[in-house]
Amino acid sequence: MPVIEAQSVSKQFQLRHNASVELKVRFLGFLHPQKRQSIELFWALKNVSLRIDPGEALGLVGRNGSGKSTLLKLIAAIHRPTSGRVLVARDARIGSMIELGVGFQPELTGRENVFLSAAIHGLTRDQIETIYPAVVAYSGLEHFIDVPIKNYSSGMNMRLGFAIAANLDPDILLLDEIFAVGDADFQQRCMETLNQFLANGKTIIFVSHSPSAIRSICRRVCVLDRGELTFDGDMEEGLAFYHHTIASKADR
Amino acid sequence: MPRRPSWPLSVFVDGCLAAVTYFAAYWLRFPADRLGTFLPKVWTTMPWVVAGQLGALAATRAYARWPRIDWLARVISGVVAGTAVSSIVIAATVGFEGVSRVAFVADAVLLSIAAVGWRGAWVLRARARARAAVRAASDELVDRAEEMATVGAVATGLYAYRELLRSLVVKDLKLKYRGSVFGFLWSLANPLLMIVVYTIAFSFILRVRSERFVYFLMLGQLPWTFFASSAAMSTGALVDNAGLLRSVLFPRAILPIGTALFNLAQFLLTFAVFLPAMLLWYRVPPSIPMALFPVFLALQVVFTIGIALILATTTVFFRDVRHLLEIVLAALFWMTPILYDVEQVPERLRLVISLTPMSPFITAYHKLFFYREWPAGTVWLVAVAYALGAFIVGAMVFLAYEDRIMEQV
Repeated sequence: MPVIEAQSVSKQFQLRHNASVELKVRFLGFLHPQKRQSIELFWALKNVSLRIDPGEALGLVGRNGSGKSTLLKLIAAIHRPTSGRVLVARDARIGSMIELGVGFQPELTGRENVFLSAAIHGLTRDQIETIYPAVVAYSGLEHFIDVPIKNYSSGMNMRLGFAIAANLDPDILLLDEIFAVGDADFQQRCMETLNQFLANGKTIIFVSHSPSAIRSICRRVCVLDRGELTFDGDMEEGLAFYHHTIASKADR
Repeated sequence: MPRRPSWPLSVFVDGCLAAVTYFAAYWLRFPADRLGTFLPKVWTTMPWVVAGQLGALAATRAYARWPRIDWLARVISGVVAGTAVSSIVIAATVGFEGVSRVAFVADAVLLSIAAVGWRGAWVLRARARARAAVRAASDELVDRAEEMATVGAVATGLYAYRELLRSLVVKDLKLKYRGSVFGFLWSLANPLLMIVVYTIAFSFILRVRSERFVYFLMLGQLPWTFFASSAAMSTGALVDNAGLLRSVLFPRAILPIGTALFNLAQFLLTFAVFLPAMLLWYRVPPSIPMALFPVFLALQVVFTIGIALILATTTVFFRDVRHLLEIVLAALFWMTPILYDVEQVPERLRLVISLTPMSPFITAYHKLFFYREWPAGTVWLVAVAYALGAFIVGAMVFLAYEDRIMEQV
């Protein structure tokens, strides 16, 4: 029984090239055909089908704009597919680390932000009280927890964000390029946490441009190219395939 | 289950509602003792009005099989055009002898709300049924985006995320006065200063003599502020939280509803200070009608939540809403019986004033606390119609556009 199943999923976005609905633009467009607002229909994902079993760690690779983040957002049900269906196990709790620390309010303290952020992820007051000490300990920010977030460095923000997400105890973890910031020590700790998750039978979908990060977590790799799933299989073969396609694109 | 009601059903329901609202418009216009003299004319003109409205609805293609996305706007324009046409026809044939012109305005407003409201309820029910069918089909794996898109799912979602709702309200209260010396006292100082300014202007400069003016003013000013600042804040509820919306899944309706509840919390805090103070100062003894206050406040909250959902959604697509709303709120303030009593309004305008959005609620508060009487049946009718209408339309607009909101913010 898979935990996630994508059935020929496509997602279309409208790109407004002359990004304005202003009357001025409409009026000018009426006079000058070339100044008319053009709406391009852009397929972020085309006919992607995937089955992911519990306990699997899937690495998603592909160039910028190939639809990796869109796929994560469809799995998280933030977006709805234009066609096809994304099905997720009924009781699975999804932890999305698509952008860490995004709900943080700069004026609030670290403590207040932990409570707000955990509430956004649907925890009740009691549950938040229970995980709070673990979050603070994991982030290593005991000393700064009553300081407004606006005084945090971006690395500290990131650590607090990851600490919250790691303690939400999700069944499916969606990670999008989260190791761009953070020192080596923190990255090391993230990796340990993720491997701990896998050992507990949780599912991870991991978007990264770093082959070493993918090697240390994933056994399976999917390659996306312009919204199409071009490879789905063994990790080393996938990374090789991805490098090959990049190289061949660069040659052209 | 079709996504829109079939046309025979629509014509039938609209026809019934048109007859009811035409009668209700006269009821709103005239007190019971004078209503009797107008009734014969109401019955003779009613077929014309109903026929005109149904005809105009058909002409604006409100009954088309696949109405476009501006369906509800077509329904409203159909009702308004139909009312206008039938009033002109009646003026030309039988004349306005024994027929009220203002009642046509009320009829158009009431029928618009009724026609849009029942369609909204129909669509929301169709969605819930479609979801139930999907749910029954799959057992282990579920389509979460589909699951969230009904009123019932949003309601259970709001309950599951009650801690978030509470946190959002507390966060806004904390942030509003953080760093200021007087803190929460500003919540009291603001309405106090407003009341002082209006009292000076009206009692001492314009010399409008009225009994217990400050008490009267407080009863209108505070609920108005609750409504107006909810409306103003709700325009940013989705647009200003784009990052959050794009990265975490949660019931998004919580954001506009949260702004309404935040302003409710502020209103209750100030009202809890001002009301007892005024009751003591003017030595107003408590009375039984005052017990109705929670009922009308609940209606106002439902109404405000509906308006907040509509404004938050439309702002995503048209940022103009923010700027337009400022002007509309300024105009509405003077068209709402806050500084004056509905009874002071010239009789011809009275119906129009009593139909502005916040009128029924504020009139009710005046009745309950100032006159210590039961609110009239007409006030009940308008308050309930506005609350239900705004809520149904708000829920429908929000759910119908939720996917596109996510792509646009």
